[in-house]
Amino acid sequence: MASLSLKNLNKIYDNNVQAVFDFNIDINDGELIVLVGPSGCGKSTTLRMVAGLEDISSGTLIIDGKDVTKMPPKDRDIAMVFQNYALYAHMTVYENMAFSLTLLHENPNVIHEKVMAAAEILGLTDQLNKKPKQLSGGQRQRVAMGRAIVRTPKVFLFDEPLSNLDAKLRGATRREILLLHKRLGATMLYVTHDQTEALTLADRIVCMSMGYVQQIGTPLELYDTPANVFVASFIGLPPMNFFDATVCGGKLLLDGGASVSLSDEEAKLLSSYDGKMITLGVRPENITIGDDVKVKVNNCENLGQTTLVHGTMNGHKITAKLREWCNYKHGEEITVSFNRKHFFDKETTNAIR
Amino acid sequence: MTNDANRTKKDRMRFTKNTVSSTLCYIAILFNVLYFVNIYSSDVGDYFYNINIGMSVIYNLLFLLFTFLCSEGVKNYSKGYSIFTIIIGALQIVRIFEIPMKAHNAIISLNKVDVQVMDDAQFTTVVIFLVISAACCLTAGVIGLVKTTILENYKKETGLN
Repeated sequence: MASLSLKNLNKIYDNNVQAVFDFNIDINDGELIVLVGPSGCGKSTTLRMVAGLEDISSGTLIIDGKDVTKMPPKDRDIAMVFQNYALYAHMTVYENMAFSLTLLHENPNVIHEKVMAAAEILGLTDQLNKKPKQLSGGQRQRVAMGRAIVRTPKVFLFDEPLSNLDAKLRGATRREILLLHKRLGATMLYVTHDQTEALTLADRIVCMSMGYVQQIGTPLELYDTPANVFVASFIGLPPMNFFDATVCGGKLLLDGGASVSLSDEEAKLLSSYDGKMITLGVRPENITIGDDVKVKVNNCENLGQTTLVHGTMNGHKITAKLREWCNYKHGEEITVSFNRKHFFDKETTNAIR
Repeated sequence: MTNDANRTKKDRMRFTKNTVSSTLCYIAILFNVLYFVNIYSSDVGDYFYNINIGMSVIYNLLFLLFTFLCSEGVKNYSKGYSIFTIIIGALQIVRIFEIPMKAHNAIISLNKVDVQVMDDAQFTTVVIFLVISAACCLTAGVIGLVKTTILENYKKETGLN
């Protein structure tokens, strides 16, 4: 296993479109880093640059202390798992997993031992004589992972490996990947657009948008202290509610007339914004039934343990995640409180800290 | 080879094909094709225009079919196909004493000139083709039989599939 260092990585395509801007991160040995962001944000391009499948326009890529920026993919000692599995249909599971080592003219007995060990880890021992078409999506993805494991590469790269699986299988395979990471202690770089995957798998998350890194941090850091409006809106499900608000002494005057009181700490934080407009962010799970602002209910979604209440507050849409079973009717008015608030600069969209 | 390596080699057979035997079968097919192309390109009067050559054509077609089936069978460690491959190999040897030997010994009259139907060079060539074809089939069959027995014993020993 190895550490990984991406220094000022840029990707500019031939048509002058820049997909990645100054990507910087130092990944420690055995760390699982998840690149997350919407489609087209440059996360897969970054991964492909690490793999060597895309040329690096500028910047330096260091794997285990060695500059591999110009090195061809075969010499980088990395293994990649693709979204579409990329298995050989005419080969059995065993042959698929052994193939890369066969190409390296490895001793057949050594190959066998590595394949059997990987199959044991992935629970594929009974499937080794089957062809990929006889396997489920989850099993195919495990074969793809097995093919990567047998090579014992320095770095594992995952490019949206769970996107082709149904929701149930995705959860199960996600847990398997997590166990695999714990068991192998391998350095992994994982790309996904699914924030649930990012939050559950990552040691650290890199949140990207439009080719720029928005924030790097632990899942809790990104959830609890988002760096800007984008990260705040992207991480968390349902997404955070945003309102324009004007700081007025110890209060926030919301667009539309409602006001929200601030704690002393919050008032101190916003003291330099007095009289200015900011963006107030409130996570749906931080809204409770209280006595601060009135919400007109549009509809309720009961999820068993929780209820999502969608409504409007002075004309602004708002979603609350209440920890009880509620059956509010359309048009009914409820009063809620904001337990935890996030404040963002209206112009820069950065968090006010 | 150490016991561990030997055991690993046996265990590996559960997931790998017997490609040696199947490749030998393909080589046998190739040399049989060379054999009949050589025979059927002979143009010596009407010597070959009889029922024997018709039977030979049919046998060659059957040989191609069954040897191909055997190649697939031995590839998957089938004892039956291994034995069948050995039989096919033995028949290739027998075939030397049919058309090649008879044609080599036959002399016909063409325009009142005695001509040997198959000269020494052609005879040697076709016999070599048939012997190689036979040897490949016999070797493929024997290897298949040995490997299949080893694999069956290993599976019985370990209780694995």
